[in-house]
Parts: sequence; structure tokens; C-alpha cells
Amino acid sequence: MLYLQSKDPIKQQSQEMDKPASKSGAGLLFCIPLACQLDAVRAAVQDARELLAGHGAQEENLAACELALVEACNNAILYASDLSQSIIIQLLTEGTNIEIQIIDHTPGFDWPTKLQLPEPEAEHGRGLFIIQAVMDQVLYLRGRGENRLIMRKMNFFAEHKLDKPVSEQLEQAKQKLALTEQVIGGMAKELWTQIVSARAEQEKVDNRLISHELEIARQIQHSLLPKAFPSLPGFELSGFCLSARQVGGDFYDVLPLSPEVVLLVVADVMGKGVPAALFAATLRTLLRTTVQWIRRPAKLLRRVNRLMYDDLSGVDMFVTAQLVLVDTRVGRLVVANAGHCPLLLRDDDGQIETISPEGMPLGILPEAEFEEEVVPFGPASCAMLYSDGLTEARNPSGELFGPQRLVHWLLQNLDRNIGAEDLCCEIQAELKHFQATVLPTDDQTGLILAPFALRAKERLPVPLLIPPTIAKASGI
Amino acid sequence: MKIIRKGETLGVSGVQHLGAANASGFESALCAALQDRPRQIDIDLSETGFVDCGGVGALVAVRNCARRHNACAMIRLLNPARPAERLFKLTGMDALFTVEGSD
Repeated sequence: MLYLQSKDPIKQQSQEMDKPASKSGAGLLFCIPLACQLDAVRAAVQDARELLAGHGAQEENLAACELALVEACNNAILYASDLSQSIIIQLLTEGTNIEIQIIDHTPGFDWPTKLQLPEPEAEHGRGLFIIQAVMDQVLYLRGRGENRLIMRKMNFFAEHKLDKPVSEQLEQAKQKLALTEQVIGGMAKELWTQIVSARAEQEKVDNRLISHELEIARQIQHSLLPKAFPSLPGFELSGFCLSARQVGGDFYDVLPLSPEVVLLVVADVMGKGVPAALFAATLRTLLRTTVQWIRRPAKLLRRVNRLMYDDLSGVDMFVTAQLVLVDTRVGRLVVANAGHCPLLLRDDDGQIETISPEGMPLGILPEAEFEEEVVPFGPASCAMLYSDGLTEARNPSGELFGPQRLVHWLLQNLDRNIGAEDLCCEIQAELKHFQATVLPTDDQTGLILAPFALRAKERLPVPLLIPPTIAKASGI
Repeated sequence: MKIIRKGETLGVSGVQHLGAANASGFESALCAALQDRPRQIDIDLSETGFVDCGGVGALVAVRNCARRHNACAMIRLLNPARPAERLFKLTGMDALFTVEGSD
């Protein structure tokens, strides 16, 4: 196939146009790369039109091909993902027929089985219909990285003006050659279609397998979240964990250590998908077992960091986590943080405070140390643990939800005496309203400890289930 | 492109071609002029060598814009070349606009 590479499309175009057309009347007549700019289409198409007019094309056919060519080029440019890649325009003749090929590098699309005009008031969506209407045959071959739109117009040339062959034998040989070319060309096109179809089918199978695996992992991850929250004297607990993809890296846990003491956990494994979910499950198990003999959050983080360091650093992953030991007997919280979002604490006077003791994420340093902060927690206090998916949620304008909006929301809602469960529902609704049509890119997790609301008191308390080993260690 | 207001009519002429490459500019210029709420818009296409689907979309956008400013606004497409006239028929634009040929 004749195809000249040139950095200067205009120059190449004129080179091609200076060449005489194939004397047999079959073959490539015109081939140019078109820069991926709408402004460039008109000049290229006009050159093609002039060339075809010079070969005796009928005016009506010329106008139809010009329109189809423009529509096809415009489409390829408007949907191009890489504007640096040129579009190739080829004109091929076969007897009195013309074939126009547009080769583009867009992601491609599925050619509609039935092309219809949009509503009359619609401002877009007529291009493919026009191409189909003005050409006799249209074939769209979608490939990986390259697509080919083939448009044919029959009896394009009023009279075959190309020179006659010099002898009858030569003419017969050329006819045989043209027939062979046609058969081979047909076979190649059929093969190409089958390859594209097989690739698409393989992709579908792969996607189904991945979706199935992710669905199983998602079910496992959700099964790791607490099914119910223990009741603490005077307080109510509730949480939520919304995955950005089917499987996320966030989780929360509530570990009852006695009827008055619980350990709250919110963690975020860097990344998404199955690996993040597996590390989340590992961390949850380690915390549940280690807390039986290490209760102080900072020491617990140090121990878990040592246990997970090799596995995490081996795959360049890390985990941020916040641990809060709630002791309602003495009214205090003990907080430790491994590079996670701060704890939001509303004290008895209604002031919001952020508690964020120093600490590296788990999996960064093998011997990391974690600070601990002890803060009073009165009967009217409220605490919220959360992941950065909340504050990094964006609205359609690209604006972040942000920590200030979260604090503002807490100030407005914590005095409403509505309980932790309702607070969790309302912050999720607030986020959904803020994000509107924007899908979250990160998991959104929250855990709220709030005084019992009047309405919440009416609910049946969930029985406190303390593992026997913890109960024994606590002297229960 | 020339846009002239004469009484209740907005006259548009001198459009060399109307396609995807210049549709946005055409639409913006006319929508700005439509703020005066003319009752009739005459778009003279006698100098317009080529119209494509993007151009048709721009004409529809101008009509939608005109109707927002004045629900009774009428648009006439005057003297289109034969290929453009065929395109208007093919895409059903002859039902949306008054298309008047030179002959």
C-alpha cells in the first residue's frame, strides 16, 4: 500500500496529488495524514475533492463524498484521546467505484445497529446518520489503538477516464490481479473483524472474572465490619464504611474490653482493591488478638507496626490508623495516631477540638514510636473518627468537602440530641448532597461516639459480647 | 460574517462556510445579537460554500437561543446551495426552519 511518511502534511499531500493515478483504475489514489485539528479538515477535504473532480466524478457524488469525509474526520478529531496522532485519509478506486478510508486512533465506539436522527432540537448527534445516508456502503472496523471507517460510493465516476490498457492480455492479467486482490482484501478484512471480535470477547471474560473476584473480596471486607455496636453507659456508637470501588482499604472496628471500656479503630490501607482489603483484614485480626494483652493504643500500634512492617514494606504499601481507648468509668479517652486524620472531639462545653498525637503510618519504619494523648471525656462529650475520604470528597466544581466543613457540620448537628446512628446517616446524606453527581474517589469511613439521645434510648441495646479471653483478663 | 439589525429583523450574511470548525463562533456571535429579541432572523447562505453536521447543530443552537429570548422568533435560511439544501432536507431541518431557495 502506498503510504508516504511526512512531517509536513501539506507537502506530502501535494506530492501525492502530483502522482498520476493508477492506470488500471484500481488502487490507492490519495493518502494523507491529517493533523488532529478541526481547522485542518476543510483544506484537506477540498484537496481530495479537487483530485476526484479531475478524474471525472459527478458533482452530486462529489458533494456526498465531501460531506461524508468531513463528518468522518470531524468525528475522529472530536473524540481523539491523543491530539498528537494524525488521522489518515485514503481514497481508493476500483473501476468506477470509490472507497474512502479514515484511520484514527481514538478509543473507538460501537457502530449503532440502527442509525436514527436525534430530536429536531438536538444540537449534536447527526454525523453518523449523514454518513450512512449519503454513502452506499459503510463499514466500521474497531481495533485496539486503531479504527478504520470504510465508506464506499458506487458508480462514483461518470465515465472511467483513466487510460485503456495497451493490450488485451495485459488487461486480462490486470483483471485477474484485481480479483485476487479483492479476494485477499476481503479475507484480510474478515480476519481483522474476527480478531477484533475475539479480543473484545476476551476482554469481556477477563472483566467478568475480575468483577467476580472483587465481589467476593467486597463481601469478605463487609463481613469484617462490626455487625452491631456494644452499648456503653450513657453513650451510643455507630459507624459507616462506603467503598469508592467495589473493595476499599478503609475499615473500622469496635473492641469491647469491659462493659465500660471499648477500643475504637479506624484505619485506611493505602490503595484500593483486593490487596488493600487483605491488609485491612490482617490489621483487624492483629488488633483483635494483640489487644488481649496490650491495651494502651500507642503500644498497640507499635506492636502491630512491627508485625506488619515486612509485609507492608515488601509491597510498598502503608496503613494509617487511629486508635481511641474509651473509658467511661473515669471519663477519658486515650488516643494514638499512625499518620491518620485527627480525632474530632466535642467537649462538654460544646467546643470542638482536634486530637492528633504524633505517629508515622504503619509499614514506614520498623521501630516507629507513637505518642499518646489523654483527654477528658464527659457525659455530654462526643467523638468522631473518620478517614480522609470524607474531607477529600469533591463537588462538581472540584471543591473539597474539607475538615472545616466537617467541623462546621459537627457544631451544627451535635447539639440536636439525635444519637450516633442518626448522626452517621446525616453525615452520609450531607456528603451525598455535596458530591451530587461526582463519584467518590476514596473510601469514606466514620465512627461516632455520642451521648444517648432520647430517641436512641428507646431502641433495644445490643447485648455486649466480650470474648472470654478479654473478659478473663478484665476480671469480668 | 455580517450581522445587521433592521427593524424587527436580524440579517446575517457573508458566512463562508458553516461547519464543526467555526460552529461555536457562529453560535456565540448570533446568540449575543439575539439578546435584542428580534422577531425574525434571516440567515443568507448564498455565500456559504459548505455546511456540515456541526453547522446544522449551530443553526439549531441559534434557533434554541432565539426561542429562549423570544418564543415567536422565526428563522429563515435563505439561498442555500444545493448540497446544503439537500442536507437540511436529510436532517429534517426544513421542518424546523423556513428554507427559501434563490430560484
